[in-house]
Amino acid sequence: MIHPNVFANVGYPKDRYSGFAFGMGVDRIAMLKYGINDIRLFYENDLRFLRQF
Amino acid sequence: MKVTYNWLKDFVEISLKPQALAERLTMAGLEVTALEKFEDDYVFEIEVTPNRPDWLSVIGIAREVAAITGKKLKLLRAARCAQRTKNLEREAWSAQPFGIKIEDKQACPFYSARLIYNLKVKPSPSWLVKRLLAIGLRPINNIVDITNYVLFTTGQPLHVFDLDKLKGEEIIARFAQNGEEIITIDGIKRRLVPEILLIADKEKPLAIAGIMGSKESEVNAATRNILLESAYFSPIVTRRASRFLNLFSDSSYRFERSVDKSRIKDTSNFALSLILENAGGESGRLYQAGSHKVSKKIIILDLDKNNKLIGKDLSIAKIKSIFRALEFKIGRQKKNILSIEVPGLRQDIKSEADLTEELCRIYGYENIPLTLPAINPPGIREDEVLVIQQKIRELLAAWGFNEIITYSLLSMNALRKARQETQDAIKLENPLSAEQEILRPNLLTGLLTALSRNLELGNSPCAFFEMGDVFNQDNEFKALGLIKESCGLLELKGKLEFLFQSLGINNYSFPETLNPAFAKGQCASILLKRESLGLLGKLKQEVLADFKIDRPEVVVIELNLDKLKEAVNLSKTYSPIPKYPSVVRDLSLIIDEAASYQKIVEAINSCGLKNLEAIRFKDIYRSQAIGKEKKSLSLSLEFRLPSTTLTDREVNASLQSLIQFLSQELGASIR
Repeated sequence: MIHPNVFANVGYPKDRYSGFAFGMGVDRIAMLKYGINDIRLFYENDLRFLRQF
Repeated sequence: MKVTYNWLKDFVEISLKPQALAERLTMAGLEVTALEKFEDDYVFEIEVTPNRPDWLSVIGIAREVAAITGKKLKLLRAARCAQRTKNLEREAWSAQPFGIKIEDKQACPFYSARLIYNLKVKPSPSWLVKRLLAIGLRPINNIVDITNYVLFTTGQPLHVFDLDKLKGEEIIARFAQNGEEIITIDGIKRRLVPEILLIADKEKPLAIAGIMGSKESEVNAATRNILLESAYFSPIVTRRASRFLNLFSDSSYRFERSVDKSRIKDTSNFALSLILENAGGESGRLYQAGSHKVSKKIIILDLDKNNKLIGKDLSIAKIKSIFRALEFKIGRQKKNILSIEVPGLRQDIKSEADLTEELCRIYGYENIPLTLPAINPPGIREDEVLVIQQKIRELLAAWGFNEIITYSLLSMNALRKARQETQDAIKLENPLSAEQEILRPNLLTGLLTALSRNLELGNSPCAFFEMGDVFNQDNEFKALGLIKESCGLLELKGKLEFLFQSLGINNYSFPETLNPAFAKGQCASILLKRESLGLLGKLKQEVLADFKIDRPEVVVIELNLDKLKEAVNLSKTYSPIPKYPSVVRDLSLIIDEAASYQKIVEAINSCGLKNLEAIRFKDIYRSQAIGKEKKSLSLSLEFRLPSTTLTDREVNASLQSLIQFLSQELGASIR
C-alpha cells in the first residue's frame, strides 16, 4: 500500500486516495520460463546465450 | 536475535510446535532465518529490522507471539518482585551516602544504580548456563551471566561494577576529556575523545557508557559488593562512540536503537531478585537521577478508512484486542474514530497507516480474503517510445544484430580507453568497486566491452545493439548504440538511412566530424535539420587494440533516441501513382576527390530543375587515367512531369543546364 507521505510529497489532496503498488523482476520471470539458472547471464551478453532467443 | 522456545514459554503459553511458530512469526514480519534443536530446546534465529528494537528481547518476541496466538503475556517476574524490593532493602545499607551526577541530560536522560552487598560470585546455576549456551553466549559467573540473561530477556542492557573499586561516593555520567584513556574488559587500551560519554567515579572512567566497562572495575571471583547500573543512553551518542572506537557489543546494539525508558527500573529490580536468589547478598537502596518519563503519543484511527485499506471489516472488539495485546492503550471512541496511545518503545509507529499495518500483521495477511480490485482501468494507449523501440529492434534483429544489456555503471578506465571525455562523468559517492564508479555517459564503452568479451570467447561475427539510458551533468536520456565488426562504414550508413526511412524521418544528413575514438575522415555527425543526434564512424586501431579487439573494421552508431523520437512520423498518406512515363539518364562526372556524395546531391538539388524526380547512386570509379585526387561518379537521374510526357529535347536541355551548373559549382566535367 502506498504510504500517505508519498501522496503528500507529490501534492495529492490528503486522505482522498489510496494506492496499491507492486512489481516483479522481468528477468526472474524469464528465468522460470526458459529454465535459466543464473541471473548474471542476462548481463554478460555472451552471443552463445543471446542467439538462443 | 536468537531466542529459544522454552525461554519464550516463560512469558507466554505456546501450543504451536516450533516449526509452526516459526512460520507464524515469519508471516507477521519477524523473519525466522534458522530453527535449530539445542538439547531439549529449540533456538530461533530471527532477523530484526532496524525499526523494531522492541524485538531485541525474549519478552518483545513473546509479546508478538501472544498477540498472534491470542494468548496473554505473562508478567515479568520483575514486575511481581517490584512491590517486594522495598522489603529486600536492608536498612543498614540503605543509609549509605551515595550520589549520581549526570552532566549531560541529552546524552543520559536517566541513570539508576542499585547497591548490593555481601554477595558471593560463583558459577551460574545449570538452567542459566543452558539458556546462555543455547543463544551462543559464554557463561562467566553468576553476576555477569545474570546481567546477560536480563539483557536478552528484557532488551535492557545492564552493567555491574565492583563497588569496592570505586573511589568516592558518587557516580558521574560525563563526556571524556581529550586524551583520556581506558582499558576495556577485552584488555584493549582505548584513547578517548570528548564525543564519548563515560561513566566515571571522581578519579577515573569506569565504563564507556552503554558500550563496555573497564577492566579495572570488572566483577571477579573476589568481588563482594556491586553497583548494578540500569540506564538510558542516547542512541546518537552511543552510535557515534561505537563507530569512533569501532567497538560494538550486545549492549551498544540496543542503546543505538533505543531501549524502553519506562521499564529501566523494573529491569533493575528483576536483576536484583535474580542476584539475591543466586548470589545471596543484601540489597541497598536504588539511587537514581534524571527522568524516565516518556511523552505520550496518541494517534487517531478512523475505523472505516482502516477497514477499507485492509479489505476486511475487522470488528471493534478484534481491533481493540490486537492493540491491547501489543500494549497500546485504547483511549476514547467516538463513533468510528478511535484514539490510541502508542507505547514508548514503538518509535516505528508514527501515523495512522502504521496502526493499520499493525492490525494487518497480527490479524494475519494470510487471513485477508483475496479479491480482485474493482477498478475501471483507463484505456491503454501504446507508449510511443516503446513502439519506436520495437520497430528499431525488429529491423536490427532482422539484419542479424543481437540486442544486449550492459550495466549503466562503468569504470573511469574503460571510458578513458574508449577515448571519451572523463571530466563530465557523474561519479558515484560510494562506489562498490572501481569497475562501477561512474554513470555511463555513452553506450559506446559498454558495446566495446561486450564485443571484446565475445571475440575473446571465440564468438564471431558479432553485431550488437543496445537501447538504454545514458547520463550527463545536465540530464539523462535514452540512447541507441550499434556496433558491428568486419563491416564498412558505408554499409552501416546505408542501414541507418533505411532505419530512418522506415521511421518516416527525412531531412537528415551526415557531415564529417572528429571524435577521438574514430579514425580521421571516417566519422560523421548524424544531423536532423540542424540538430545533432549523435554520430557514426569507424573506430581507431588504437581504441580497438586497447579493448583487445583484433578486427580491422569495427563500426559504431550512437544516437539520442529521445531526440530521434521527436522526428519520427509513422503516419502515411497515399500519393497518386504517376500517369505519365519517366525518362532515365545516366550521368558520369569526373570530380574532385574531396567533393562528398552528399555535397554533389545537394548541388544537383539546388540547380532548380523542376522535372528532376530522383537521383540514384550507380557507381564510383578511380584510375590513373582520371587523375590523382579525382574520382568518377556515376548517377542515375530520373525525370518526369506530372501533367505530360517529357520529350527528349526537354530532358536534354535539363541535363545540359545541370552539367553546366555542376561545372561552375564543383568543377565537374563529363567523362
